[in-house]
Amino acid sequence: MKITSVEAIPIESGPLLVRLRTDEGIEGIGEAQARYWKSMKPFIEEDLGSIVIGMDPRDTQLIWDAMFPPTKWIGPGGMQMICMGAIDIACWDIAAKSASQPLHRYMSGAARTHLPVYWSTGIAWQARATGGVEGDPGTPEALIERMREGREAGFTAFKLRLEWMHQRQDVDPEGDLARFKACKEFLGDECRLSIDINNGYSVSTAIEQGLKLQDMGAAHYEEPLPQYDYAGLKQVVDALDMPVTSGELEHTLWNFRDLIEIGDPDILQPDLLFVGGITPLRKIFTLCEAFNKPVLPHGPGAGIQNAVSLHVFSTQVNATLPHEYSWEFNGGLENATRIYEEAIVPKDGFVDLPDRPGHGLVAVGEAVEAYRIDK
Amino acid sequence: MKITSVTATPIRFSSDNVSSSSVPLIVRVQTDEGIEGVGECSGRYWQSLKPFIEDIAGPLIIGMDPRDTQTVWDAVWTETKSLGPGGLQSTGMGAIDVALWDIAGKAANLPLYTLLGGAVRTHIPVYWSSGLGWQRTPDEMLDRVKEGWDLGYRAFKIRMDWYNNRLDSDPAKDMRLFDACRNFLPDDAALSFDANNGYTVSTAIQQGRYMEGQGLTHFEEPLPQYDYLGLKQVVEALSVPVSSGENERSLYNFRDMITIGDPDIVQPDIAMAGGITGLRKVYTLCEAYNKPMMPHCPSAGISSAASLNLYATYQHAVRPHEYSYEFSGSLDAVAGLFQESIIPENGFIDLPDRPGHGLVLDEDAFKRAEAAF
Repeated sequence: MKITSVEAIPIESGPLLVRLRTDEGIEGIGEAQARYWKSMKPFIEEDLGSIVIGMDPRDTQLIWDAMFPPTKWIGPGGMQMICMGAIDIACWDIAAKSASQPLHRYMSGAARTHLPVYWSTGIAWQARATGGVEGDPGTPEALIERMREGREAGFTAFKLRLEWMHQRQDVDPEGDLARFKACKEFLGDECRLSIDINNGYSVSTAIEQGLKLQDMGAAHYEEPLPQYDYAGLKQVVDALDMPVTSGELEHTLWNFRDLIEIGDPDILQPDLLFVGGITPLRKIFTLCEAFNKPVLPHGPGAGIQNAVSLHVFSTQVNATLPHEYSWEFNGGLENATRIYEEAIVPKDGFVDLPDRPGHGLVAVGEAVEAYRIDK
Repeated sequence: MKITSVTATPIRFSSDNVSSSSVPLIVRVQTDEGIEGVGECSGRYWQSLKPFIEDIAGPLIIGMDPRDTQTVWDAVWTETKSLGPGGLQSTGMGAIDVALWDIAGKAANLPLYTLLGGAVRTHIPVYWSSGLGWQRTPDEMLDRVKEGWDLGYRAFKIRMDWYNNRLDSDPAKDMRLFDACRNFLPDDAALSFDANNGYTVSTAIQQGRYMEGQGLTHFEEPLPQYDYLGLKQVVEALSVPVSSGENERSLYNFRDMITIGDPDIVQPDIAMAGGITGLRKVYTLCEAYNKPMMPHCPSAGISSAASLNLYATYQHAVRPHEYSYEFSGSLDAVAGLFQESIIPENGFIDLPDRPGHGLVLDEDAFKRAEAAF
């Protein structure tokens, strides 16, 4: 079997869909985020495409290794990994389809296919995406409304993302406690609630806040520091009892090795797209296994990102925590699902992975044409 | 697809076995779709391994889908952990795991290396591995090396097989063995030396220093395998690559060996480390730490084929892979056990593009080998 074409198609709802076709008529799809699609599309179609066309899509590691060295000046990491990841996902989709197996089985089997997911909701994203929303999206009242949407959709595990990023360090720690407290009171003790600082604290702020947040019942404490501060992370991890997590911004296996050895977070959060697809994500899971670190993948995108991340997650025997889920990045559930023949959607806080061959998401040609934004 | 039966059968390839303790144990896994997979481990303790595989692991996995290799592995590992971790447990699991991957490859109609991500190369150099140095004179060891040379091999390893119960017994004689082989081989033929856990730290450094001056390719297991701290001293003292790992069982052992002992080359064994599922994870750890792998695998049969199928998928796996028939029987006898064989020629093995690991038992030959045992 040979890859015959590689297309990258930005879709209105957020993904940059990558479609591979083969000489045997089997098609596979992967995705990247479309935010920078104007740079990514030519890189995927022309640079990576010229490498992988003619290769056997089932040779997933071989293809990954063929893409990585010649394009390394554009990485390592960043756009290079994200684009390679989209192709990698599409190759795995084809490989599993050609063996008539669901992706989890092709990858060595699911420990479970009924998987809990948590509702991940943030402040800044929607404001950025829509060019501003009415009022302040970060008030406790506004955040409670975001939690209510998830609760009504049946979720019982939640995460509040503050999205400070490192350029807004230590801006409103007191306010963050009030935000968490309001959401926790609304959800009650029967729901898990975690908090994500999104790189927004310095070390001492992170420790002071963390001591209070763990008393308030935070389930996990995510990215308290700028992602590059491994030594600082170790100080925070050592100071707190609750699990401290990091990893969504790391790109390579070697970054994860150093993050674990130096920063020693309690839980690792690789992102399928950021690390370059299924092939490296599995390796990172193995590294985490060697160091007895639970994985809790970053993967809020409601389409291929989430479904494929769940497939890989399902194969990990100790992966029992709820996996991230959100449709905020896709402009709602309807937008996130309308280009697929059959969507993979959570029900009562669980996603059931389908038995269909491949990852289970098949793009409808007409819908792709209708919602592509590069025409 | 479901697993319907699991059997473990000790065999002899032929009556000319070089060692009575070297008996392959062949594991056969059957499915409801008629696809069979075969795996192998050393049958030295077959009286314990056979019931573990057939009566303990078997009932746990019958009814499971053999393509769910990780799921099956986890099920057996968890349930039988009081028999391990490691030891008989991971060896028995490794043989079963190889059989399952064989089935998965056959079911997808793909060679195993494709299922494992694709072969970087299928023409793979192997080195000639000769052991029992502790009992042999320099001339006897040289004869073994010459046999390999005449068969076309151009990379060699001599094994002392001292083990940690005969520590530092006769280091000077080891160097006479090494010199005899080194003087026979041209400079461009690789010669490695395996102390098989037989030295203390200072002896290892002295021996290593001498051999690296004469032309040594790698220095294997200088110390008892548990001495990670000592290994680090040897690694730091020598410029020649120091290797270890064949006696490690789990991913966690390898983590500690790498982060504490820091060997230059890591040598997991497919049967000891829990089959392809276990071995593959060790490879990933080696990749994270930028450690080349040179798998331990002196076998000539199924374990060798399976180990090579995985080795073939690694970009930086350019060193020759171990090969020996000392633990089976003659090459002809090994080849005869299978419908189509995988045997080195001129120091290279060509992996076939047949589905699975590529070795299918010849039923008549298997019956004879079973009877010979």
